[in-house]
Amino acid sequence: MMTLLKLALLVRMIKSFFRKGSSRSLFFIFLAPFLFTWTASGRDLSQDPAILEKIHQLKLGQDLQWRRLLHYKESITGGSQSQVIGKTFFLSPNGAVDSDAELLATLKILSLESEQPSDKNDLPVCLFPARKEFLKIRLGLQEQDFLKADCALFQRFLLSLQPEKVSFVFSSYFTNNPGSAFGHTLFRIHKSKKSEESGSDLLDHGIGYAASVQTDNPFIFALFGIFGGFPGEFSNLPFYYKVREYNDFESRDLWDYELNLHPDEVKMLVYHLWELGNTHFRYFFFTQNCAYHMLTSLEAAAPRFNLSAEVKPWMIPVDAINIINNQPGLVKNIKYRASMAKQFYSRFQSLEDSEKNNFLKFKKNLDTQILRENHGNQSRVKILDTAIDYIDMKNPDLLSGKKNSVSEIKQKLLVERSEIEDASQPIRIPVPMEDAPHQGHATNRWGLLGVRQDDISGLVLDFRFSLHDLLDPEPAYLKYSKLDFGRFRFFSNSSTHFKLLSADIVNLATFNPVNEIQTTPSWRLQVGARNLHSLHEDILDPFVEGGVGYSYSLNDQLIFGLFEGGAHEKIFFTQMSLGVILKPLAKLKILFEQHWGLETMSNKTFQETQVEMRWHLQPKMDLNFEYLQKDQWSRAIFGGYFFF
Amino acid sequence: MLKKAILILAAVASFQGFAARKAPQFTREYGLAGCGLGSVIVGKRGGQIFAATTNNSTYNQSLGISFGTLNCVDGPVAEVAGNLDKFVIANRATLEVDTVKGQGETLAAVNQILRCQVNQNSFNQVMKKNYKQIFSNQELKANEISDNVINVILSNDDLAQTCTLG
Repeated sequence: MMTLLKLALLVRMIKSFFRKGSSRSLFFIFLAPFLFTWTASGRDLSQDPAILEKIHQLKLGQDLQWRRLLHYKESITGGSQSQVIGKTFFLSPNGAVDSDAELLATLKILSLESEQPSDKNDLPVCLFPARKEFLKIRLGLQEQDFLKADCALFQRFLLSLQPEKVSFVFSSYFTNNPGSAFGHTLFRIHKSKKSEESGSDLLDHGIGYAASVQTDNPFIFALFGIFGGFPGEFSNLPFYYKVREYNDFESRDLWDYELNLHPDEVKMLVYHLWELGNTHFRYFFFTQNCAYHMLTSLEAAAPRFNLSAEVKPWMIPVDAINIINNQPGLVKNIKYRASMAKQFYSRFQSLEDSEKNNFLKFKKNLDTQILRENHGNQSRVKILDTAIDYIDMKNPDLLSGKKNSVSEIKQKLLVERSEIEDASQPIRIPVPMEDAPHQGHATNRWGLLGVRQDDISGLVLDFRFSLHDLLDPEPAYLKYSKLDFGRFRFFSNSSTHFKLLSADIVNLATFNPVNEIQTTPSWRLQVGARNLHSLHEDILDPFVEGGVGYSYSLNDQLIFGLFEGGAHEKIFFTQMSLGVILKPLAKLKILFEQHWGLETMSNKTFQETQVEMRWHLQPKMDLNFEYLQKDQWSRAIFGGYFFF
Repeated sequence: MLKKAILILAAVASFQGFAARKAPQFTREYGLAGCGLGSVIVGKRGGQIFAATTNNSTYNQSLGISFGTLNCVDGPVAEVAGNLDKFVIANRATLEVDTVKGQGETLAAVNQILRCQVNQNSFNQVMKKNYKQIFSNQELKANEISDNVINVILSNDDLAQTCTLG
């Protein structure tokens, strides 16, 4: 009705425009606002009876994909609520709990011009392209049914992404940091290229979810991170920023799991990420972290996959990789980007002996003159390339343009290299698929073991929240590293029904074998509470112990020596520890340690012997034997560990 | 008389200015504030041990590196010089190493940004040969390096034919 009226008015105005003697300018002023509103849609879709009927039939407000787009999650109490915290994500006042109301509000606001906010840059029809797409498909609506708008920012976003495919990217561990195996995940949105050979992945886009952290205090950081004190947000940057950050700055491998999504699912994911990019969640380090919301946004775009349902009550990023990889048909192929450190070592290992010697001489005091020794062009190219990679590996700050004493040395190397015409050969690093993140053991571990100490025997129940032990299966974890986070041991027998033997808050270790390139020290730290007496006792003493030393490895066998100190209850002590980690068979590992200690207050000396043997019986099960000998008593434990 | 003198002076001055100018500058739409690696990767928060275990990927949110930010994100293909700037500011060190080696992924990326439909090897050779012109000194800013790259490409007869710089 309104449209007909406007049409009639328009015809009259055109007629009067051509009539001589009329006041044209007046009519144009009169005409303008009509024209503007005429080109915009005026129809409130949420009032259309046919559409309402369809919504009712399809129960669209309760539709799985619709609720996933709103990030609804069932709670233990039976209700459900959106996990999105940002208010602007909801178009209805109760949108966070009422998905039916949100559906109607979305329909209304995406179609009716009069409902628009005053700031034209925030038109909901531009902020919610995935919802619009969902409504188009499910209700059979057309583009012209919705409010017409330029959506310049959104179009620019699409143009810079040119999305064609999507990968799930994982950055793995790096040296000297046992916790780095938790990893980090992000999406790589592949740009459509003319051919696979042309161009580079660097220009693709990395979209990831992370906590927005404004503190440097490690305690606030841990507290807020665990209990949801930080907002979590999605961000979007050219993928090269991620490569520089993870591959180069932190020297981490990047594993790229290409996803088998239909083109409309890729489109929906990119549209939905745009929707999420403008709002925020609550970030929980152990539950709703970077990987969790990648799963929720993926299953919102591709509802045929059920991903977040597979998540345990707690998860870490590497768990998401396993969920993705275990979904039939979701992962298409796996690509690998070696870290800066791996690239350097690959070059170094490929040098001839004389070339290695030349490089090591240079490495001693970074004297570039040594590299001018006559070796022939090809050799010099290899040595210089190795030297350049070495400087980059040891000085990641140079990447961001910081200048220090080493920058001059790097410049000299670059100039030397530029004077040799030969181009470098690309280094080919074989993909270490056996070390891929999906090959790693599950992070939670239970143990059921039997214990005997002198005349007492019983059962031990062992539980570890995360992550990895020195003797756990190696793949996908930093070798010779340990991180026990929340590790508990309980004892039970007929007389003692149930008691706590030990509770470790954190137990960290990393042994860095010394070699011709690196002489990083090895270290460990344990904080918790222990029953340090015989099993007769019920006392749980607070316990802190830490130490530094060196280790050396030969043929996959490790030897280490540490100087340690600590306190249990009020007794301070220092000790010398000497030990080996042996691998006599592929599936058998043995840790043997001897401590010689001194209680500093009383000057009492003590000795301790620890042996642990682990047999990897199956991917999810290990057999474990432990023997502990102290001055006053000894204890043996045997049983199984189960990873899940 | 005075007018003539002024004219001559002006001519001389502009000539000197022209000779002193290194190379033509290409127009850009947006600045590069906050896009360097040092500002984007502002260093892990909360101490080293926690840093690696967390997924707080270090972006300084106050810089507005969020979804709609135009500064550091590449734009419509036509903004070639601008896109090259953005690439250079974050990849400068790696690009310099790849150029000197005459091989590497950043060279393929530059080829793609400049929309040069040329064989990668030829492109790499030209870049390597002109290393000193491109990275003429350590104090160059990102847009100056981009200008140098574009000029090197345009002065090469083979590449200039197929590189559509928009």
